[in-house]
Amino acid sequence: MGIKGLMTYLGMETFGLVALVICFAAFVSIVVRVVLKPQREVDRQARLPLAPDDEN
Amino acid sequence: MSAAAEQAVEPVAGSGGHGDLPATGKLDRFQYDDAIVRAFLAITVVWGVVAFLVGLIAAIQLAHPQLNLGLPYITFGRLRPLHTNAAIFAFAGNAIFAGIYHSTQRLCKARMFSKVLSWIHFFGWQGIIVAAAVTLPLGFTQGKEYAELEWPIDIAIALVWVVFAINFFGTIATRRERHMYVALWFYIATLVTIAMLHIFNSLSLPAGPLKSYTIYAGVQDAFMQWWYGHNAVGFFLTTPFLGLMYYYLPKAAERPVFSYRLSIVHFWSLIFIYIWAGPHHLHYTATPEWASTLGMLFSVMLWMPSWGGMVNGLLTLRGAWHKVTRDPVLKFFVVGITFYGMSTFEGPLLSVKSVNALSHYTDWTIAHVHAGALGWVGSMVFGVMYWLLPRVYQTGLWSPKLANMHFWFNTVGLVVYIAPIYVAGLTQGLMWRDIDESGQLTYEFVETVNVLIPMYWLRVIGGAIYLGGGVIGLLNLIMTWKARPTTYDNVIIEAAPLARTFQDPPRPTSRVGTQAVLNTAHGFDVWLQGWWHRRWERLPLRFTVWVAITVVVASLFEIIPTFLIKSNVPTIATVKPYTPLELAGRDIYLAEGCYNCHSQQIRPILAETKRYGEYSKPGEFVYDHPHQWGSRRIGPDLAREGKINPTPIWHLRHFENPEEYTPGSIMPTYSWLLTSPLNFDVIPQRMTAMQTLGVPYTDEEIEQGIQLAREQAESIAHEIEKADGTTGMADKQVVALIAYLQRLGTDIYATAEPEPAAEEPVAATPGEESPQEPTVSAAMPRSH
Repeated sequence: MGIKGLMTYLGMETFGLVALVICFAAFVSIVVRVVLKPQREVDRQARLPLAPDDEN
Repeated sequence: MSAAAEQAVEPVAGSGGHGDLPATGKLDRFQYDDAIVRAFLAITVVWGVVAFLVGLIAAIQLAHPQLNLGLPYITFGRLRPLHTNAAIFAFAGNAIFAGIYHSTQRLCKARMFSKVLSWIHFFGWQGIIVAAAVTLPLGFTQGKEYAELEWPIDIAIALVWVVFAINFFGTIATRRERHMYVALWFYIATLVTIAMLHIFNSLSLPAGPLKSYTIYAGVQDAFMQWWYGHNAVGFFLTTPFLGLMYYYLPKAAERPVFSYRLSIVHFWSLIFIYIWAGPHHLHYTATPEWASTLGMLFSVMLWMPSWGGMVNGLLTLRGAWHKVTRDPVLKFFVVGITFYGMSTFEGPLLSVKSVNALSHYTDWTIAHVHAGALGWVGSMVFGVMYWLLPRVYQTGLWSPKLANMHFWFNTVGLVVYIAPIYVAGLTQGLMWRDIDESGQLTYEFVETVNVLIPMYWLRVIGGAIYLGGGVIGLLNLIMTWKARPTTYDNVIIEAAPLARTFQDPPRPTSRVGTQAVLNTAHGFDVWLQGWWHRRWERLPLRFTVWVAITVVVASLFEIIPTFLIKSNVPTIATVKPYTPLELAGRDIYLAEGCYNCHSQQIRPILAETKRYGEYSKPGEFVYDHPHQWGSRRIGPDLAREGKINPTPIWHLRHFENPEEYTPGSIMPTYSWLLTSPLNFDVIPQRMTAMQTLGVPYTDEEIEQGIQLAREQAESIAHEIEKADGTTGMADKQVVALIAYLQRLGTDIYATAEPEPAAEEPVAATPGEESPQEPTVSAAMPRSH
């Protein structure tokens, strides 16, 4: 059974399931990481465009 | 350096950042390169006026087709791609570069990596735009929406994009601010994803100096086209402008973004989910249903990260709304972000299959596109422009009053544009599907066109107002430029270089302590503290790789099944390659941009099959390089044209004067097709290219291609002469186009050729039925 046959046999449900799990896991990881960031660091990073430069 | 020397030096505020060792005491002195910013900014507005003007002409042509003037170079079919390319790549593109070059230098506290590369980028990009402006009206097109430009220009785009990438990443690599602000992430996502989309969608085989065929065919080409098409919107018209929003809105409002955490979450969600949305352009078409459903689901999910961006933008103005009334820059930004929110709600709505069944091919899609393009993109461009003008030209804005006037022309013009087109779209959709008590279609197609004309005129007014705003903006730019100082102030910036030996914060220890847990638990707790992601935000290469992985993984999940699952495109035995003459006619169909008005895809919807015939099957398009399914029905669908209108004389007279044959038609005349000679000599070359792409032309057929084409042309010309005495058509372009149109949609009605040798029948196991041959139902053809 070649790769085409294997993919046809597995069907799209498997693909969809795998995609959903990966997507959800990635999203949860990102949210967790963001929530745990120290506030001081977040504030500093948010203010980067406001750092003094040649503009008035 | 000794510890004592390090401690003796005052750290410089804002430099390096968390973890950097104190500076050595020596600050770098450098200047930002604003010359390139000025160049990109000025050309943005020039091309903007051009794009708006071409759009206005196209809009008038729909309301008043006589404005096509009987000239091939300015027909709607050739002008519309010029308008879309100018609006996206010339106007929005140059604006993106202006904003990126300006903001990146300041966020990195570094001058652009290479002045030479900056100017190669600038002139290269303008060269591409000029090449597009020349080739598209001349009919040199690949026939793929938003990717019409022929192969030499595609290569130029790739090369210029590489130059841009080197310049941008070189600046990041030489930066003096360790943390990459969120705007830079959006720029990185744009660079990486546009490269991927452009390269893979543009893969084509040249068949001449300005002629090529895409390597994909039919269903797969449609899939690639809209993977590209929607993500061109996502990563050329959304992510870079979100990056500009994250920089220029805080600058203009003089306050930081509402939630930096939200910007991180919405960034990663957006770039992952956007990639999947493409198939929502293909609902109820001959693409497999799993793709359509996947596209719909992810499009609906895409609403969330998009609104994350909108919320972040608008709430940045919390406590600063009083500034909006005084500052045209903030007015533009507020309108822009609001329209971003509206369009990114409407998009998911249109992606829902049941809504799409009504909206697809109608002007609702056009209204949606322009709400986004004029509302979000246009407003953001002009907001950034007015913020930059006094700063890069080092003088006051010539007329704040005119800037305010521009704002009102922008906003009123775009509302006057989109409102009637929403009405037009809904009207089309409802009229097309209307069926009377006797079960017949209520309206002829041309009736659904004529009822829209007043709305098309209103659109012209809206577009004219918007263009007026653009002209005001251009005037303000020119007069501000004129008031610039004789010599620009070369402002010296001082900033400490990044410390060579940046000390990563120590890897945190597990907070689980001495409890009796597995080592895995300790490791997981350390991971949860996120020290590794803080490193990523300082490591542009690693960050870029993860962005690339995100967009590539998402793409592969969609694309691999399309290409590897055979059942996606069932074979139809009676579908054969186009004859040499039909292939030549198809090339003329592409050159004239017929897909800009006509679709070739009948959906399995009752009103549609009643109007156009049997719905389109995936196997019918296996030799279509590129597919021509279209996305508009300004004119009727042509998928079964060969069945509905089989007579050559009808087509001949219709091309000469469409309104005479279909009163009320807004199709322009194509009378030059009756006098322009057909180039038979290129036919073998084009057949060879198709053969290379897998179309089963034999070498003998290619050798005899010219002769076969001439024979078929003579036959059609003879039919025309018999019908009304017209002679001399056998060597004209019109017979090739007629041959192609006569072929459309007829293959499924052809009789399958008998097998050369009968095989032994497979003995059925008792209790099992013998395998049945699939049949194709042949619906009775209807008039439009």
